[in-house]
Amino acid sequence: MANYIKVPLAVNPPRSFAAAITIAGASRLSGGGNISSGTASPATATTVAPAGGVSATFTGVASGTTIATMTLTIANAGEGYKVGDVVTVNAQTTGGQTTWDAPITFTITKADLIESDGTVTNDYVLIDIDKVLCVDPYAGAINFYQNIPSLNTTQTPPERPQQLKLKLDHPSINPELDSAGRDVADAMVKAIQAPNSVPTVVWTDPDIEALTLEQSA
Amino acid sequence: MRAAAGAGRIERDLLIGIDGVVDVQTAANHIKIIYDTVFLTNNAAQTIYTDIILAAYTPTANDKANLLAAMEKSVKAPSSIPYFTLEEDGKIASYAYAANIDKPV
Repeated sequence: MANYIKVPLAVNPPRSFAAAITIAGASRLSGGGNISSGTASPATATTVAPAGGVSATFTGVASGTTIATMTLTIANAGEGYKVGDVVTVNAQTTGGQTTWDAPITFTITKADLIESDGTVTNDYVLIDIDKVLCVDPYAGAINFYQNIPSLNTTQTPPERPQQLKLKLDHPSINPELDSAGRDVADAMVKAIQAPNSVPTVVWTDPDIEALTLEQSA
Repeated sequence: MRAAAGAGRIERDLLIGIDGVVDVQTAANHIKIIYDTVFLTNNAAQTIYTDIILAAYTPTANDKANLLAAMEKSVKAPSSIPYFTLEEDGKIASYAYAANIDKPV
């Protein structure tokens, strides 16, 4: 019988913008004042309400003179943003490319931020530890290597152990990631010593948030 | 089976699965625990192994014997999770990961 540990997922945690996201059109953007089309603007600073998120910057490209023709692209992903926050991108009047002379605002949606699966009705994942060979915290995730053959066609040779990546978020991920690795090991020890007790992983560092569990080779 | 890990950082238990182990190999900075996993496609010569990474340390014959002894304890008492320790005082693993390796012959 499988033997599980339970990992609580954060529900709408403060986090970074996703890589390479764009926010465009009148349905998402408002403001901007007088807009001049052109090439991409320099990365432009933002503010956010309610307070919390910091450091996100966006470049802007407009193909016309209305906000409907404007596309913002993330330049710096920042940290601490939540779904529902309202971001204000400062006016950008540096000549020679797209400019706007009044702030542009938009409301953050789930797709704008790095992935987070936790919801009020889906606030944990169960991880079967029966076939886990070892656990390695690196690259912002707790990686569970399993004794299950898999293929990763982007690598040579493609044969790999299956890997479960429990992606975490933290304002400063190392060495807190090691601390998270220890918390996972502690829960696994409990599960091995009391099979089917389904112990919950308790994060020693309260700033650690589990975002998603992904399966990869 | 478990070993201490996190040399130079936050220490933690390194839990190592030992079901299906067919060989244990040692080399400078490495202990390789090799399993009997079968890849059904592409490459029948490969299997899976766990690589325990040791910073600036070459495992000794005693280390390998200690590891095999810990495996034996684990088999006899599965929920006991016996510790494996290296021969050199205070020396612990850095981390471990799993990957593919040629089957031992």
